[in-house]
Amino acid sequence: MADTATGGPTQRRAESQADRAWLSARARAVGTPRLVCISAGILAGLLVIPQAALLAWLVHRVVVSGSGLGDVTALMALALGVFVARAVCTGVQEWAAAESANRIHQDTRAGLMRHLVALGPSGLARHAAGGLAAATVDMVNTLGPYVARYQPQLIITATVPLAIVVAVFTMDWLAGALLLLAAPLIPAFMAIVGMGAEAVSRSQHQALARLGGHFLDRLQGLDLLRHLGRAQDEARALAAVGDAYRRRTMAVLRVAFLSSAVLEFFSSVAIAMVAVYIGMGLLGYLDFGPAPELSLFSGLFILLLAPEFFQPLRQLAQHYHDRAAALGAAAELRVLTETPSPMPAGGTAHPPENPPTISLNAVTVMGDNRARLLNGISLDIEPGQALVITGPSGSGKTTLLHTIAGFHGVQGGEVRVNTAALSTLDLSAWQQRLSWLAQTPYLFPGTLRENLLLGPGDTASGHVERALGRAGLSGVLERLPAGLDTPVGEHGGGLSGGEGQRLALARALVRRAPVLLVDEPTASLDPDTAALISRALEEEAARGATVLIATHSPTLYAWAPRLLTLDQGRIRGAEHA
Amino acid sequence: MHELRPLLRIHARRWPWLAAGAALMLLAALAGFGLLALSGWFITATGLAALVLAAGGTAALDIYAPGAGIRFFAVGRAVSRYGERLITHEAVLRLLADLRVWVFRRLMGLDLARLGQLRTGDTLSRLTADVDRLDQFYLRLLAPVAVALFGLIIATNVLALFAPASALAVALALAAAAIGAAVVTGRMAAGPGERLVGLAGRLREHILLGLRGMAELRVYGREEDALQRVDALSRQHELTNRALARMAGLTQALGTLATFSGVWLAALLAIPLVEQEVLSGPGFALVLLGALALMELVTPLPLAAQALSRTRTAARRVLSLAPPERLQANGPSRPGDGTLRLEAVSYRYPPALTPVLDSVSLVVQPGDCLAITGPSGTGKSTLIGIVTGALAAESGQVLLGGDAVSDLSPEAIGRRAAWLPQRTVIFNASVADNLRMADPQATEQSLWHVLWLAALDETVAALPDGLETWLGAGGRALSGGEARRLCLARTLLQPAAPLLLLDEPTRGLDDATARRILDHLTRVAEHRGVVVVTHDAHLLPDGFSRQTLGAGRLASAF
Repeated sequence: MADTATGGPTQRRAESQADRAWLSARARAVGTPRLVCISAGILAGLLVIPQAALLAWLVHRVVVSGSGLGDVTALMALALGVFVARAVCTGVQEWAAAESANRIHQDTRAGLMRHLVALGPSGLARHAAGGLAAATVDMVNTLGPYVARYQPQLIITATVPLAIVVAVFTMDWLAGALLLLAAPLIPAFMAIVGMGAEAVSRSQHQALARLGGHFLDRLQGLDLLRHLGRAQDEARALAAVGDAYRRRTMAVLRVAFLSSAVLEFFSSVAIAMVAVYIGMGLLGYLDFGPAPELSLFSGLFILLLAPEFFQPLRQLAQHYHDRAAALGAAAELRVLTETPSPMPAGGTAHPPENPPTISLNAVTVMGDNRARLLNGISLDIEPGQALVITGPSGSGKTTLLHTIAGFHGVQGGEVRVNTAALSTLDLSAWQQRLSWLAQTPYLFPGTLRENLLLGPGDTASGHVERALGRAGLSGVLERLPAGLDTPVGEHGGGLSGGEGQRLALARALVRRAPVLLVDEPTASLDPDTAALISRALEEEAARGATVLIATHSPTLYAWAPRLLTLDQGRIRGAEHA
Repeated sequence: MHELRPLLRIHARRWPWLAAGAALMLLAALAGFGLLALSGWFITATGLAALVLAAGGTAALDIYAPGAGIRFFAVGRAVSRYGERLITHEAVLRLLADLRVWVFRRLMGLDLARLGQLRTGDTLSRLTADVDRLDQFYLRLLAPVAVALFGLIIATNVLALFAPASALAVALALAAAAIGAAVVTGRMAAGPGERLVGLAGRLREHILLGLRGMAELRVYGREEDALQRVDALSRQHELTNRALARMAGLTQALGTLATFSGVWLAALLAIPLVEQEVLSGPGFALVLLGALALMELVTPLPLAAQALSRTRTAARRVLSLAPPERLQANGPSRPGDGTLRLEAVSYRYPPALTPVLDSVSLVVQPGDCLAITGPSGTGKSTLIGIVTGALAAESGQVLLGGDAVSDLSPEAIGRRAAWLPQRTVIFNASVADNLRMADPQATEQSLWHVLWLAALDETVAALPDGLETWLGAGGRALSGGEARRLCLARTLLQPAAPLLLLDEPTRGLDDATARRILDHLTRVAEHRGVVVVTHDAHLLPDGFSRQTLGAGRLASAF
């Protein structure tokens, strides 16, 4: 994934601004549930005011006026009503929050998937598929809490305390002023708490990521470590590394937690001050300002509201890590969705029906970071020729196949199919004229037959069976009572890896395509299946199809008359039999 | 619940930290309760005293003790909350470190085949995520539940001093809210919650499959189908999520309602007491406000039930990957006589009918330098796998240093044969540390020597920090060929092993470098046995004797 931490501070600031804008746009797109969530949250917060008033009045009536249960029924009924209303608001807020989270997840994931598909095989090859899957599932899932928790709480924090101050003011301007004094501090507190929480979540995240990374790294090579007799040592080292990180993290946390401790302290002291002020005022010890007019009702009312004044802010601090997580995800997701697709647009010309002459003339293909994936490749492939392409990992074998298939545009030179430039062809039609065999076949849940006849192909009776036979599946098929109508589960459930690969081979054979592109199909296969695939490809070449095979094991395809060795995007050697 | 037992054992070892964290949590909650209850009492008391004074009577009210109490609770709450956050984080970081070591030690006992399975797909990264998730067990479950329980007991006892019936009502309402929320959430989390975990896994796999198979999808014109499958799964995932969230909303609302009804009932039961002058006015305020303050204790409980099912799932997955049975580690510890002897060894990959090794016999002695060649897939790596104990021969005998391989622990095999796996394994550490994995005591001179043997000395010398250059995850700082040579150098450093098993040491190298390395290997063979498996038969120098593997049999090649 792209490392967004590079570049100068201005660039980084611009990028984090873009991340925030991206996140806000996603949040706005959620619409109604988000508004409901915010409104219900504010309403639940505002209901604190009548609740405090009713409770204070209840105490006043019972204690001062000596009212019995019969005298306060209306008051008790009202209190019950407020309680129920608050409970309902809380429920609605929760429900709408969930709905908002689901919407943003669903929309973002669908959009992201669409973009990934548009990147095409070549664009995807630049990312680890596992990382992309994690982005589409886990990273997208961090956006929900931001929209459902953090944002609503931010708005609640900006509104509810204000209403509470107004309510307190109407009772006792001095107590109101006390809280109001704290009010301008609230934005400052928000910033402090924010910084603190961000430091906390960043340092925790980092510690976890590093520790997890170290753990993963050593697990990856555990077999070797054990063989070297170092596994016990590494287990001890793991504990030591964990200890070191803990010490470092705690040093950060000790400071970072202070910010919320200050908030906690302030709110506690404010409540205590309000309580003492009211007590003194009631006793008549204070003869300035509104203190002499304090009654038990107004005093209790103010006392009950004082903690609620700080409550939204305390909750915001708790949700702050949602923001950090969402922004972190936004940084990666935004970059991903803004990556341009390397797939060229193509033209409208009809691709040829028969095996064509494919010629590359000084073709150069650039990857990310302006690295040359292919560097001035010139190559003519006659119709019906079988060509094995080999070379170390990263030498450009797959890129060459991708370029011929039109999955990647060229930045220099030209690819021609017969006499037409590839860029003038209808690329979808061209691609659907190819057969493709890869390391991990894509199997649909459905029957064997449906998986065999994915695209247009020769379905004449006997042909499908012949293809299955050549793919070595006849024996498997005979054992299946439902034959070709046997359902294949997800991920080719019920088939072994080799059988799945054979099914993909049979599918490619059924197609009778004029050009077969083969990308390292035998790398993780048992020798029998690998030999079988090689033989089937030989027969395809004999049928007259053009067969291009990218592989690490050229010896497996010794029958192929032509071998091309690539190194760092250049042709290093070419052999003709 | 048996999956939680090992988890509990690990927690038990850290009990002082965990108990201290929970105790501070409890103190903070009780201080909050005390602050509000005492303030209510104080204000009502002052209000009543003021009324008496206004009526011309005399009232004696000590305002200093309650004032001090209020300040004490206020400061106590802030301080204990800070302490609680520090201590719980310290505890959790210690726990996580313990958990990682625990999982690592368990995985150490796996056989090579299962370790190999672990490396497929994103199993390992999910395992690390699962381990990280186990911290919820304490933070979200053990601590809040304990705090709610003790907090409720203490607080309602305080309330009972003033109005026993009200205290009972509050206790019952809160307990009902807590248990109800826990039961509903727990049930939900067990059904849809587990379904959600399964759906997330399937979603991830479908996405992975679609992305990896994109070329095929385009060629067959089926991208839209794949997109729709992901979309459908994603929708199912979100629907389940929504059902869960709706239930969470409901429990939240009902929990709030139950707590409020506790306050309401407390008032209802206390008002007659005030009338009968059994309960003082300030006591009434204390009961009411105190009951209201207790809500903070029960709000984390629905989360606790969710955490329970999540930790259980994570714990179950971790345990299924890292089962407790240990490989027998006590084999003979002497290094053996340095020979490798295969007698009529056969091996067949389970579904295949023809064996990949068919009655293969082979003897390698110190000083021997043997190359096994043959095309891909003829069983060369299988042969190495059988010697290192990764695969068990179907028939025949494999003797390493005079003992059957099946009787040796992986560590003992390591002392008898150094092994270069086919897979290139580079650790996220420096060049020197990567090499010293084979021999922690190796001198710098011997590091340079093995680097020279692997034809990597010049490359390392040219690196910015030489031997101390940090290689990054998976050895990102090196090219594929350089990483391969570093692995070879590490294998050559393994000190005691009298035999070297090298699986494709020259893969991905240019011919000149490969020749140089193979030539160096013949020198190593002066006092050790060397077995090299390679495609590149034409590069082998004269010092090598050669055997070709084909059709399951070894044949001498000249």
